[in-house]
Amino acid sequence: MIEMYGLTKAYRTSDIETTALDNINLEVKAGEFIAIMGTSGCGKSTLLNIMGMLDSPDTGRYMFLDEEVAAYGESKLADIRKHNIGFIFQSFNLVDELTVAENVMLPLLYQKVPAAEREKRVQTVLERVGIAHRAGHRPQQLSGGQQQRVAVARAVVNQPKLILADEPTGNLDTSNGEEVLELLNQLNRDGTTIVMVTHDPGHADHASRIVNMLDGRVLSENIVGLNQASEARHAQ
Amino acid sequence: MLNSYFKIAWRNIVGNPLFSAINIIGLAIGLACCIMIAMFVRYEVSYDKHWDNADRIYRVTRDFLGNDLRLAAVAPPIAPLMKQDFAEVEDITRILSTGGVTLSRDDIRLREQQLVIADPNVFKFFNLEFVDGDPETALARPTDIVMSERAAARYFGDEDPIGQTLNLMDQADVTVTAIIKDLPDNTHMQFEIVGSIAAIPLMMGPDELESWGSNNYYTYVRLPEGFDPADLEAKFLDFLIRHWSEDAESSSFLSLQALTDIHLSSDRDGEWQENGSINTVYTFSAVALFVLLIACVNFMNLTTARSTQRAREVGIRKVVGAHRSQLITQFMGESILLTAIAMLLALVIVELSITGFSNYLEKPLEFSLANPGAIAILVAGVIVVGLFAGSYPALYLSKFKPAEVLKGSVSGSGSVLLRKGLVVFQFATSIALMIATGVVIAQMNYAKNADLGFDKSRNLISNLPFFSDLWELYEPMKAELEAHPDILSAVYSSRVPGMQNNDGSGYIAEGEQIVRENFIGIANIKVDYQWFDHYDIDFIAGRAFRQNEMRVPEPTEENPVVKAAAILNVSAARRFGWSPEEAIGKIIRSPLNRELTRVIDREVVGVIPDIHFSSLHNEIKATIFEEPSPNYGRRISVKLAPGDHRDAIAHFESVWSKLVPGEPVFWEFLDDRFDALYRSEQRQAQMFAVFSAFAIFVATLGLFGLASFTTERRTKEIGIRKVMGASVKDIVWLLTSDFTKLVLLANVIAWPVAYYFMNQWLTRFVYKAPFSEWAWLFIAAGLAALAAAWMTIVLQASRAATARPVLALRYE
Repeated sequence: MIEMYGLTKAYRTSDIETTALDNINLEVKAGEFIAIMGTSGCGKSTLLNIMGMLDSPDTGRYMFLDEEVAAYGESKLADIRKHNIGFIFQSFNLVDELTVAENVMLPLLYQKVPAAEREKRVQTVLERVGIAHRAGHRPQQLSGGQQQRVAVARAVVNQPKLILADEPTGNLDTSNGEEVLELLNQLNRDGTTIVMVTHDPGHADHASRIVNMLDGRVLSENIVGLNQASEARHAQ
Repeated sequence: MLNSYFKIAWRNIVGNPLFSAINIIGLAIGLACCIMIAMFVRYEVSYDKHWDNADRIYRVTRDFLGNDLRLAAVAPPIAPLMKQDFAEVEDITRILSTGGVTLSRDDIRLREQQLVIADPNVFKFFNLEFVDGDPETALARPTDIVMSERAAARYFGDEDPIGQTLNLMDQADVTVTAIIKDLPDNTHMQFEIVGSIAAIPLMMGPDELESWGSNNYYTYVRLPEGFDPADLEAKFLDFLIRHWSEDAESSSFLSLQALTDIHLSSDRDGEWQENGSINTVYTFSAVALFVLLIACVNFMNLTTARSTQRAREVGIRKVVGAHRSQLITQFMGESILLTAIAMLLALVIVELSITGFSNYLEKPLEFSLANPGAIAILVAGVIVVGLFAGSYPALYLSKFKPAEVLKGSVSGSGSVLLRKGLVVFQFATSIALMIATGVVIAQMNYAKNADLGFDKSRNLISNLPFFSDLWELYEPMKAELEAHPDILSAVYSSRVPGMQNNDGSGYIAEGEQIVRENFIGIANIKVDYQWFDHYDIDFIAGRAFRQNEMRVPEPTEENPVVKAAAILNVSAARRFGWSPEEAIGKIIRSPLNRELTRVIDREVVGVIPDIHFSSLHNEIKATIFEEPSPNYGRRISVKLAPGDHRDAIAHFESVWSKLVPGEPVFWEFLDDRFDALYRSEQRQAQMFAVFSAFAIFVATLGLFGLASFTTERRTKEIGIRKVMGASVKDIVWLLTSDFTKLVLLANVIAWPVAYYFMNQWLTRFVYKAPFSEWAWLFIAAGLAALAAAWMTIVLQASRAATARPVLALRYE
């Protein structure tokens, strides 16, 4: 689904240049659940933003669904994005002025889904994340866990092939965090590819593969099952 | 404490340059408009207040019921009879405006427009200041004249004018007996030279001062302190019955007008000059206040829009012990400081534009800060405007609860509805002003292009002097003028189109008994036989005059009934109960004396349509056209051929100098005279245009500020929407659609309001531009407002929309 070769990205201020990504090579296959880990500032969010086409790399190749997208313009990227990718953020990023249902409906609106169909899909997805009873509320009226469930609902409402989650549990307590992860697991079992940034190793364990980053580079890639097996051997 | 407030206020002003600039510029424009209009209003209401006992002086006016005449002046016998009959009349004086006569001294010959004839007590009555001479005796002899300093300087320069002689109309020598100070500009009376009323019998015949038909004498009466003028008015009917006619009640009445009300409230036939209008004063004041209000709204809107920026400060101040009242004081102080800065800028604007404004209005407005009163008013203005603009933001900001704001959960959404309402108000006002401007212009164009029923183009108009025999002057002049290839025709008439016609007589239809109650009062105009042809007027029935109908002898005792011809307009025929066709061949009689023994019997030979003889402000009068008469006005209309007129005008001037030597040549174009009829409307349209431009500018300025804050506030939302797949177009529409809806709502409010007020305004015209001619203005004004709003917002919206979404989300 995703192939990245030699990606670099640097941020420049007037006198300092910070390398956020340095020669990243990464492949994500359809149906995978990948966790990206690393210390803060190691470039995980930048990588996720580029993956989601919210940002573009300075150099390198980025193939999404076998298309080279690195050179695409803003509106073409928006097009690819809205049909294929759902986003979940640490800070939920819900629009305060809209109700829960309206927030979830946003992606469908921009895909020009007919009204009746929109209503139906929003209702279904809200039920699926267990928040249907709060459909008419505003985000500020919900708890953090509830808000993130709304964000998840919004991310999946247009049935994307890929979900990008940037520390989706970062602002949540343990039990709410677990619930959200369970939701993601469920989606993955149903066939959605998931890439999640986290620095909680416990949460990373829900993934099938963990990508560790340091200073803008991919340090290692572990298959979660193997890792656990080796840990088990060490324990013995 | 004050010091700290001031520091914070100053930092806020300096630290938010966009916010401060928008408010200061807007408020400065609003304040400058108000200051200038206030100066205009103060000048307009100052008219005639400076005379001694101004509050006890009234002008006597006369109305005629039959032909709708509302005269500013009355007949000459009225003043002495009132003085004799009414003990409450402390003093009374008459002034006759000559409308322009020639005065000469050696080589200096000038046409004096402001030469009047007055009772000798006029100087004491108005307490006019004498520079030289004795007010008691200044007008004792018929040949005495009194001049203003300015007028005397024209003839005598630095010489002493007292005792010097001048020649009046080449007829008589007059002697300067006194010099008075120039009259101030803010009086409805305009005169520079005063002749004695004792000269009237010599100039205009022995009966003139006894004539009840010569309603040309402005008559002013002074009543005792605290006396109700209505008590005197109540006696006027008996007065008229006693001295004039037993039928007075059904034909004429007298009334009193307060001297100080004349300039702004009087619009009678035959005023000294075109008066001001209280409506203009009200309208301009209201419009200037609206511009200021729009600027105040900007302040309210922008302050509350950026309230999140101030919320933390409010929270912290409250936590450390500030009372709400202290915070209110602080915010009010800020708005007063901002207004004070705007006031300084406004004063600069006023200083730069006052000369132009004053010339434009033709009023001697002066702007000076030397007067402590003026400074006090300006300071008071700063405080009032500052408190008003700052009131809502101060109450709103000071209400924040510290626990909430410090947690960062203030969204500022509570004021959103009000803010939207205020934006709607601003745009509704701007749109209404634009429509008003358009309607005034549409009406002016309608008046200018209306089919008046005659052809006024390429007509040069002049007044023939009074002192010679009409026919001896007119016929050779006509012949010489028409000899020029570029002069198509030249015709005499007593009035020319574009003039008010106050001439009229009583007529009796054929077959009716000659008694007073059968009289019909109808306006009349004296014309030469080619007049209708000259002005290209069609006949509905009958024919024009013939040359042999032009000279009609006076009826005498031996020959008491004289036959003549008459032409009616349709309204006049209707007054007699005739259709145009029925009227032809009918006889209308006009008696020439009160005893009804000398009569002219006129056969109606033609009927013309109701032509718009005077301004479209007035209803078309029933009018009878008659043969020339030497006792009426003497005007000549000269029709020029198309093309260059210089040669024809030069010819006119040389004919004039040859036939009327010594009389300064005077001419004007009829088109100009018609344009002048709508001058006050034209000025109003221009003022409206300027004001609505200011209003829309200030409103747009506010919208710019508001849009930039809104866009900033919605950066996160824009980012989220883009991540969800919104295109640039979607985002621009998102940001503009809200404001678009507000501007559309403003239209919905402005349209009926503008329609109502402009319909009211149009009622001053009898012939008004139909709605279909100005309906499009509503759409145009709406689109203009929308365009202004869009241009303001779209730039910012597209900048926000094209930014990469990741930047927007990092903003969190």
